[in-house]
Amino acid sequence: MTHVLPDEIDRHFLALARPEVAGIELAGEAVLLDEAGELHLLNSTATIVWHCCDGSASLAEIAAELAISFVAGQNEIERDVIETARQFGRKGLLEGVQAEDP
Amino acid sequence: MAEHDKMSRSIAAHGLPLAGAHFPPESLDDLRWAALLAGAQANRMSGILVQAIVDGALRATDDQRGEAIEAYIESVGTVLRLERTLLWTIEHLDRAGIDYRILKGAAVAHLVYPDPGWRAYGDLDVLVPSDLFDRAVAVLVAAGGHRHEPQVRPGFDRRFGKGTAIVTEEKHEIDLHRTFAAGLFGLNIKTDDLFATSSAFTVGGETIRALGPEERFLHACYSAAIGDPSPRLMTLRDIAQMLLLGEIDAQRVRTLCDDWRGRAVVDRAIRSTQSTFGLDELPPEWRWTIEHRCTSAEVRALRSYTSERSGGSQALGALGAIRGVRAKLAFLRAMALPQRSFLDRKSNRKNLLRWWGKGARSLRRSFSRPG
Repeated sequence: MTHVLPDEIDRHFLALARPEVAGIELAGEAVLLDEAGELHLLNSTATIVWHCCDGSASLAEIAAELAISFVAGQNEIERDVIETARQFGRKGLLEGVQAEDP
Repeated sequence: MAEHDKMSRSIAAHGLPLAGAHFPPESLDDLRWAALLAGAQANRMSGILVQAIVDGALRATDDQRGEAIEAYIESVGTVLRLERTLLWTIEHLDRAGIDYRILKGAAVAHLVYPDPGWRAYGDLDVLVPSDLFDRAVAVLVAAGGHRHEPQVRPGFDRRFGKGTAIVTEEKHEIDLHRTFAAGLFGLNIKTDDLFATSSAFTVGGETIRALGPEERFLHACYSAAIGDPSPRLMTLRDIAQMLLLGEIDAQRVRTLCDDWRGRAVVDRAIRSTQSTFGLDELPPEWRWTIEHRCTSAEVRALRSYTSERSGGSQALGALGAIRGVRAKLAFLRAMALPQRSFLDRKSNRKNLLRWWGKGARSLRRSFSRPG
């Protein structure tokens, strides 16, 4: 499988959470455990984006849905969603994305 | 009651529809905060602590909030690692065609609370059918686990025991159960009933089977009343959560409870829950739970679970629940003459001596009774 670099993630990217990553949620914020045993605390926005990472929609489509739900500007939301997905990618949480060395 | 106990109980009660949570109007000073945080960690309640802060019920400084989140992340880390072990366990049991029901922590966290993060846990409890118990142990041992302790005699666990602990290569403990408790009350449970229904939850995309709601409620009662010398706060919270917010058929609980002769156990669990959370009035459909009058035999049996040195009484009490002379003799033989590997452990040797002492005293009492 070819891996993209986190910074190459763009609005067309289909983000898919790695199946090895487990998570638990409390008060809308998730804690994720990656394959290496590292824990990641997500804020509520990142938690929503994480839940959308099922490989079924592009980041632009996710942002469009979120913009409707949160009554916010789509461009701004799209920027945030792409940056969040890049962060997930850097931490090795997404399929097909080359994680950054710890 | 000490103030930090009162605060721990308030944390445990957070989110329940009860009057009068006892949080102070201002954030706590360092000393009281440290006691509260330690209590929450010891009782595996850091998730509820964070939720209470997020909901504004408990005022906290930024530092205190940060410490609570840190404690929560640590406990969630343990839970997430255990969930991997859970997936490993059910994969091997499924492959061997062994039915199972996940008990307590993992099941309650996913099925009873608003978010699994509310309910932390430190080990896994898995129930398997009695007749497949030895095979389940063999499957998990072949997959890399090992028994924490040898059984008293071959076949003892399958016939008379509560279960055994399997330790995985990652040093996680899986409590493999055959029934809910050791001794009389555990042996009275009709273990086939436990597999008649199920609930499902999902971990890592896998569907996991747990006990049905009524059996799950009863298991929480057995854990609270006879699982430890004094009930754990989180187990009592589980009971309150199911009692006040769960969708449980009280009549079906009653039928199962009567069938298992467990009224005394449920009575004790509900009374402890009431006194811990100041739950004066039970919903009408649950009042039967505290209307039981314990017989002297039940009082003795309950005492055998809650006093520290009671293994002998518990074992002797179990005899009453074992059907058939041959089975009774097999039980007595195992208790009196355990296999060598069991005795290699010093604590087991001590317990055996205590049991012999208890048995001898019982016999002396029987013979000295007039006519």
